[in-house]
Amino acid sequence: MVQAFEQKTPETERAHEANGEDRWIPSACSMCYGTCSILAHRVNGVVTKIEGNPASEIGKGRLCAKGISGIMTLYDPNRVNVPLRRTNPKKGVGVDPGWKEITWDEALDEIAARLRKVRAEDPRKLFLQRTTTNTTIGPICHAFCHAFGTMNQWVAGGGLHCGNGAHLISGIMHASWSIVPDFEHCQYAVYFGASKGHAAGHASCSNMGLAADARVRGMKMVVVDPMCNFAAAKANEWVPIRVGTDAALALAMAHVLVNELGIWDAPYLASKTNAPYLIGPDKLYVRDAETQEPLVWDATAGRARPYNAEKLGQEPLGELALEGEYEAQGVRCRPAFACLKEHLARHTPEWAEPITTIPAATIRRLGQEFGREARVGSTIVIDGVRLPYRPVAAIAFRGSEGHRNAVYNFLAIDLLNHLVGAADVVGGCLGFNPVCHGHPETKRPAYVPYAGPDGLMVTGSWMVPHLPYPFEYPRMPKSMGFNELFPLGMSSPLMASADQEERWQRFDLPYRPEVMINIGCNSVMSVGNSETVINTLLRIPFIVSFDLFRTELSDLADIVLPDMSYLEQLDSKPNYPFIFNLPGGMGDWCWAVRQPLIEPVAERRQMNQVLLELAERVGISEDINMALNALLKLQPPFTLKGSQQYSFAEVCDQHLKSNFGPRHDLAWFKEHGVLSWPKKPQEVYWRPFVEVRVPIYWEYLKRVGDQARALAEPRGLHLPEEFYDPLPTWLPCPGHECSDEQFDLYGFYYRDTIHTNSLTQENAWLDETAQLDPNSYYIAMNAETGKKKGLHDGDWVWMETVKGRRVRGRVHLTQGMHPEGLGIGGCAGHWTDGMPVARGKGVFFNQLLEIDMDHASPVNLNLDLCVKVRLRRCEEA
Amino acid sequence: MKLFGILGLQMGERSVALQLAEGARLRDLFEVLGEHFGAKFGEAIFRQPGVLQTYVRIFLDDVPVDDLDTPLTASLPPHLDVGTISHDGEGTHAADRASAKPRGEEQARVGLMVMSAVEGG
Ligand code: SF4
Repeated sequence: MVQAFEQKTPETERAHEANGEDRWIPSACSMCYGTCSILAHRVNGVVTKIEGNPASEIGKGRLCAKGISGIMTLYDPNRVNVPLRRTNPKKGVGVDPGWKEITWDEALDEIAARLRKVRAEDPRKLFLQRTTTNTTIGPICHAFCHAFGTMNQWVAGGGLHCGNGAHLISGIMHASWSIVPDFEHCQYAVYFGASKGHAAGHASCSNMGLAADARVRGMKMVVVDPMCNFAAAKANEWVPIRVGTDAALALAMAHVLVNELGIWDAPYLASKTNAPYLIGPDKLYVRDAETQEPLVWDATAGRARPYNAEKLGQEPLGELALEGEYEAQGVRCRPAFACLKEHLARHTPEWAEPITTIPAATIRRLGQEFGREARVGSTIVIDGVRLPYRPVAAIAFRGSEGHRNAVYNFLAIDLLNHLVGAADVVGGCLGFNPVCHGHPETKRPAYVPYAGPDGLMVTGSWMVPHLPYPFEYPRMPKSMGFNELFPLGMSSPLMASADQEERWQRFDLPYRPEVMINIGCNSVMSVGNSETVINTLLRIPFIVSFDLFRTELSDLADIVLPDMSYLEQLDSKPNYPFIFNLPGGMGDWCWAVRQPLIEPVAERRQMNQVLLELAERVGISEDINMALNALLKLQPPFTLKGSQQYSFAEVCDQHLKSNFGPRHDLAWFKEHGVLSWPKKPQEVYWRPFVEVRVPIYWEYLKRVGDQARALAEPRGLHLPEEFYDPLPTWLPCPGHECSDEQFDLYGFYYRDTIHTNSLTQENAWLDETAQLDPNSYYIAMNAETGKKKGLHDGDWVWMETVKGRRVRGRVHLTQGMHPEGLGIGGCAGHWTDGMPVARGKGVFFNQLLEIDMDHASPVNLNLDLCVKVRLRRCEEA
Repeated sequence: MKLFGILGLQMGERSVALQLAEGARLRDLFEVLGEHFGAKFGEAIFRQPGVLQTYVRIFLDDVPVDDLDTPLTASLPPHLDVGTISHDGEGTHAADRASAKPRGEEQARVGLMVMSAVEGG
């Protein structure tokens, strides 16, 4: 085994002093998952400053306040520094665990013994949860779980709160994890509950620079959001919307485009989507009897033919019908686009006005502006290549999709892009780098989307082994989260829900979790109300938690292990797997690494190394090597071999050499930080060059729904049919259906720019910054609404739900809030003494959220994040 | 043939040595394995006859392959160009394998792993 890092000894300390060391070292930030490239100033072994690395596209030399403040987490005196063993067997909130310091060997012996036992009984008894924020840990956690034999893994809160809808649909429609406007060329961007380029999120700092330049250039920004927050404050227009009604607005805008203005990109729809596929009376594709391929109407030939006739050896297709009614295979049928057009006719601006509270005239104007600015049919030359030019983009993320209707909310918004052909072309809505032809020397990493079943697009690269399409059809669940029943979902609330045990019993789940490994995640606060989560955790007999600080979750653990912060860690792939954080648009490809900036402190260890060691102790080294070969796409001669033991540093070295050749090994990357090469227009604006289609009509959703319901309904799990229709509509959240007039406001949370969820709440500089901010630790409320309720700025209130859950906070009255909205930043309100800086600060919004299947999307399991509340004035906390 | 992760535990055997006819492909191997392990093998890895579930990974000589028509009688070149990728960037294309040098007496090392439908974030 190779020792990953140099040990801190009196000799090395003296050497540093003698050398008078003064270096800038390249690495990668992880104060959020943006992974901006950084340069850290190290003087005599101490990190004194962090700046952005201008040599990198990831961050483009910029850092946000969180990135600069990482030093305070690195040197926080409250860090966990040694393994701790609980001595008090009783667990619960306020119960002293009776921590006792133990050695790493003692800790690993006990953990390995537990793991060997459950693996022998049933490996699915292992449950692993990890934070989304540290991107370094994803592949190793997947590899460990696959090797061990458990599918029970999740990013508690992440996914449920943000990604289930956004990533799924971005994957299916744009072959990427997320979407952004092509900032360099876009003229008109509409943001629906998204802050890309204005606050936190993927490629955050790079996008902030690009968005600022775009605004200066004249790109018009319209931001649809209940709160005039980070994006809206910089926009040309803020459109306040009732919480959770974005699909209604987007569908009405689409109606204006298609049915009032007659604007759509017919060549794009005919060749790049399933718009011409014929739909029968059963809402399914009409298929060729012989080949089972979906049929289209060849208007030139005057008959139905397979969409891929030429590939089947037939003569090329003529002009494909997008409208009309035909007969094929003995049934009356219409092209999918005709079905969509008729469906949209019901979604007029007048229909949307009472749902969204946005005047019909405003909705109509937005639709008209979007259609006019799309310039359907125009082209532009980029680097000598003529390309379609559609300078409009409709962008969505957590705000619009964090609802029970997550799938349709996101899909309805993205339909705007596809109707006008503004998908992955110049000026339009771009996925994050879904086509890469690789480094010029090695042609790696390389990936291109390709056509899967029914000609629909399969992503060329993805974050997890579970592709967004093609998905498995529903099966009887065997996992804790019932992922098999919800193939369009990722994170599942059943991992920590109130109805967990009842559902497991009804579906005869043959095991229960016995060992939990928690990695840097505080699920007590990150999922929903803490009481529900704690109840699920108390049922797990043995919990081991890797932590920087003792959190509310680690207080329930049996063993706490001292993790390294990102400034102490090594990683060959902070931006894994390349579709995550590199900004969209032209510029450079850029591969960056993370490296330790100081020598190891106390007993802290990087969890990646610890998991490899645990794999060895459990006897699954060969399995984890194989899983890493697959996940990291290692190629000979750089594959991990048999049951050979590798240090994490060796895995990183193999990974880098596999991608970039032996010259670009770990040592090279540690010295240079990043490897860059130029992007090509065919990579960035790939849509015209890649023969794939995307679904504007989600035919398979109906098939999935039918099969899921057939399995779920007999066991008492109701999956409403209206969520599985092939065409999107607006469906209400439980909060919209609340009829008790006392509960007259919609509480929601937003991603603060000062804090990253609960992760950074202990950081002293960020806490100080948040205390100066008018919103961070407050409940933002419409000033007029507050006045009507007799509230004044700074008043203390209880925020209460129909279910009787409540949190206390101070109101900040502002004009920048929808009259019915109450906005809360991040995930504050800690109570553990392990985080003394964070303790008692801000509002714990998630405490108000129910965690059960009734409050989750019945399609992709996204948790409903808006909650109907009332306010009551109270005394100071 | 090695069954990694949960597959080895479910099938009750982690390692199986099989003799296949000259010119056999992965598809043939799976047929033999289906006979060896019975119906539970097919249920664990196929979504429908002959079509693998999307989260099953096959490894040939430690490298993921995604094509059941990959011949077992060919081996990877000892030092495959690091630029060789399949259409989707995952694994190695059947064509690359078909043109690889014959394996001779050397045994094909095949591995199988279920990389289950887990969450993202
Ligand atoms: S955006 Fe995220 S990754 Fe970038 S500097 Fe800020 S905290 Fe770090």
